[in-house]
Amino acid sequence: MKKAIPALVVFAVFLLFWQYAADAGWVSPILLPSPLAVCRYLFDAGRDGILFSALGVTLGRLLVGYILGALGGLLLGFILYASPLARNTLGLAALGLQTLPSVCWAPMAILWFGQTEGAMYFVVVMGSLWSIAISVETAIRAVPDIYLRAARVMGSSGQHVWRTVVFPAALPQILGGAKQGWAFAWRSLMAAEIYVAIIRRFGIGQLLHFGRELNAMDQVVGVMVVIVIVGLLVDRAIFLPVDKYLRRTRGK
Amino acid sequence: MTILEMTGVEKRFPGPKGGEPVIALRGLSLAIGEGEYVCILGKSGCGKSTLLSIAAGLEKPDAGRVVCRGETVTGPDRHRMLMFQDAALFPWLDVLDNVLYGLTFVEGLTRREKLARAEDNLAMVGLSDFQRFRIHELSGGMRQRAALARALAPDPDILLIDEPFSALDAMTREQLYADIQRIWKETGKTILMVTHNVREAVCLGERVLILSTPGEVAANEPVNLPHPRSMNDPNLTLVAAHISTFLQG
Ligand SMILES: Nc1ncnc2c1ncn2[C@@H]1O[C@H](COP(=O)(O)OP(=O)(O)OP(=O)(O)O)[C@@H](O)[C@H]1O
Ligand SMILES: [Mg+2]
Repeated sequence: MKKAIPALVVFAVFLLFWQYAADAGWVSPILLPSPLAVCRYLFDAGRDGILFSALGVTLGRLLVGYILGALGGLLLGFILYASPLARNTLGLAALGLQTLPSVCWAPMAILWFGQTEGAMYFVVVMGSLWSIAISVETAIRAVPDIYLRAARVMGSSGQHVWRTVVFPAALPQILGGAKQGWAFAWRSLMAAEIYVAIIRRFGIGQLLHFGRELNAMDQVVGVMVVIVIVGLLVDRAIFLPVDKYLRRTRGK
Repeated sequence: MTILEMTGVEKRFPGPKGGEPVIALRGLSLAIGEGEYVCILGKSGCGKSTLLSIAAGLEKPDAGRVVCRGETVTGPDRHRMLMFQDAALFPWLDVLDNVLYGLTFVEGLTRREKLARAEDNLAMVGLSDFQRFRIHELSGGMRQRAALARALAPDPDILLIDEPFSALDAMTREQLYADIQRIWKETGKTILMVTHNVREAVCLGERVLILSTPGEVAANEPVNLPHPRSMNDPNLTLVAAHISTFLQG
């Protein structure tokens, strides 16, 4: 908590300065809204429920897309580990596709799925799957051979070794991959929501998109703030505690 | 009665970058009797760890046979427990769960009996108060004790130990020498232990096998001193000096 105080002071000074600059008319509100204007937007959008329904839609998509991407990545990672043929073909493809910015999947998603939820999931899965698969494969490969030998001496073999040794030994690295995959999934979804216009159910990304079309900069900045907060919250509330637990129990 | 017998065991490894193959064991033969404590002594790289891997069944010999209690060894099983050079405890489990892991495949024990067996073995190595400790919270000596408890718990026919003390300081080592002699007497286990420390071999073993490079049994020396032995016993120094001559030759 001690560390939070200087950070809070710095942010407060920054916001005050920003507000002052806006009030003094140094920057046009059309280009950059004041912090108060952004707060007002967030408050209004929160009160009439648009913000929360959009947030609900977005998080729902993220959850489905990420779970699909993570499960697929886990499976693909195992396959890449187990099969040299897959490694020399799919593995190379995964390495390449991992570097592809996820917006690039959006045109294909629209052609294949139309303006549907399916298109959203597709972009999120493609955005996260490859990097998760590669981390899973690397994680399994990094499991020290001595653990496997120890397990075999004690009578373990086959899937029992996988369940009781390979998986737990690789878990910290797999988790690192899952966290990176989550970051990719979140970026992908925002790209997809800005790019794919679904008229009936809109998420946070579409809110940002409409803000631009309406020239409502308070909305644009307000939604950006929400996106940052969601990203931080998931990291702090889910990944950080698991990471801390693993560090505490294994001492690294 | 002979528990473990190795006859004409050969092992080669592919050499670096297609060079000459490395010969790790060259027609090695030995026999270990029930309840014996035998130490294998040899220079670094002479094939000691390879010998234990083959005895455990983790690796297959290129030629020769390994027989344990009259049955040819074809793969690892919990009747021949191997303790590795670096304890190889599982860091995702605590001390007690590590010992319980060794009991997973022991038939005919209830969960409660396994727990009791694990606790007894931890008590024997002096780790009763550390059952719920994590591996990284243990000192090097305590890790070797935990590994010993994990290897003893399934009640194997023979315990194969690979240089368990080489990474420890002298004081910790002497304490462990005393403890392992006591445990050997208490349990009556057959132990085959590898080391490159002559005094250690003489202090613990009833018999010392000297390995030449590459692995062949060059000498078989009995150590006729009563247990428990102390590293500081002058008689032990004499025997050690005698055995050292085989290593130089
Ligand atoms: N998996 C392997 N691949 C290739 N060569 C190996 C392998 N394992 C062992 N060797 C070689 O076989 C020889 C014997 O190795 P081993 O590990 O059995 O020696 P050691 O007597 O246990 O040595 P140390 O006292 O240093 O532990 C060495 O020359 C080593 O380089
Ligand atoms: Mg060795």
